[in-house]
Amino acid sequence: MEAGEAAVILARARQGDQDAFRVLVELHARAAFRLAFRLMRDERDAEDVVQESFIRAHRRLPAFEARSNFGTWLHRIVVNCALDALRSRDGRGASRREGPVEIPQTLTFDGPSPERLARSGEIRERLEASMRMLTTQERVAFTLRHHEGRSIEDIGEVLGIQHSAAKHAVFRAVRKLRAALEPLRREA
Amino acid sequence: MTHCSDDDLVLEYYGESSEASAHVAMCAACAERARDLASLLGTLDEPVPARSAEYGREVWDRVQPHLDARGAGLVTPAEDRGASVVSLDGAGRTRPAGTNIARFSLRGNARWALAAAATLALVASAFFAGRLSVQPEPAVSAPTHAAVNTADTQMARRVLLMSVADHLERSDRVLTDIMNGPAADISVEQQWAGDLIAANRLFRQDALDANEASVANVLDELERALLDVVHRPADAPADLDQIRRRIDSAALLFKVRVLTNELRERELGSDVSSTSTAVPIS
Repeated sequence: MEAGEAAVILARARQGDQDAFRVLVELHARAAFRLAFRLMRDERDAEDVVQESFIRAHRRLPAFEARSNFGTWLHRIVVNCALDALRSRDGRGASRREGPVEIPQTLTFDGPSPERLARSGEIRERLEASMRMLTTQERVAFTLRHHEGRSIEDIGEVLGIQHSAAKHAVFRAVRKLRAALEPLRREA
Repeated sequence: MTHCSDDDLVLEYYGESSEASAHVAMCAACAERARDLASLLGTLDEPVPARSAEYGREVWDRVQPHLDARGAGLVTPAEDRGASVVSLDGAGRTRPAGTNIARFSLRGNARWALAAAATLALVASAFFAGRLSVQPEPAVSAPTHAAVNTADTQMARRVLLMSVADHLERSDRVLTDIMNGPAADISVEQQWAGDLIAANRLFRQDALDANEASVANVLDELERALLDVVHRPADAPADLDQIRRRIDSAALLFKVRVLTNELRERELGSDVSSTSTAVPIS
């Protein structure tokens, strides 16, 4: 879509035109899901985050700076919704634990080649387990840096933390993931 | 620089430390560690569950019931569609179910579009005026600031031209109705024309400000025709014939359509930075 066309659609949506907002939803839904899934690591939770993000975006559209990029703005809303959902989930004790990484000992590896290892469900399970060991802040910081290509500075801004805190959140996440996955790689 | 720490290598991997990158380029030991880290982080690029092309629509279906109807003075298209059968059929008259529904539903949408267009015209005009008017800022900006202003101006021009194209399409529909509809009652068309005049004035002024002379000329002619329609006495078939002859002799519908096409083509074209490539048609 051309930038001018997008600006017109956005202007209409800000005026309350639901058809225009529908176009925005249809344009950005897949990217929103991708981000939400990476943050939540659960399809159903990701769907909830996507839905809540668009509802929040609609509510806040009048405050949206017309010259900003809607995708970037929505990206931030998705992150905030995911943060809320993760904190809520963590509050219910569903997944995250603070402290050192504890990798389940039940996982085993018997793949003969790195190629097979890379494709195996086992490494995915191990990764999944280790991602769940990250704190919410570490997980979000790592996801934004690693998967979304956001700079440390952006991450600090999105999370509302200092640049150095954002950097160290990424460092801690990498250390934990490394500690969890390194043994598998050595075995391979 | 001494050897890179693990954290330095993380920054290097993500391109956030030129110092670490420089060291890795010269140090075999750190380069080996950097490759090892890259190999590990590479295994984290796992796939995201696929979503079909219909996904956006599915999300909309879930989201839409939760949205508030917003916008001062505006109604949602759905609400408008529901009301159009009654509200647009003259003053207080209602039609039996199934009578001319299609035509009046269409008119309902057009009316909604006109209301939105008038608002959009204000938005686009304000946006455009803000970009093209003389900026009181002191000329202390760096070249990058100038480039940003140029980009803003191009964007503003693009927004204006797209908005004018939309406006012309709506005007086309009204003029076509005037030219081809029954002479007995054009009160609905008069109302549409009245709605379009305010937007037309704003766009004409913006086009003049942007040195889009041919656009401004067509809008000027269009405005006069719309004023003729609005001010035509309610029961004067002779006057309507006169208005039609004027529209016809000025080839106004033709000009409106040519200009609409031209603006759409410019919209699609990549060169949006030129001042005016419009072919004079008036």
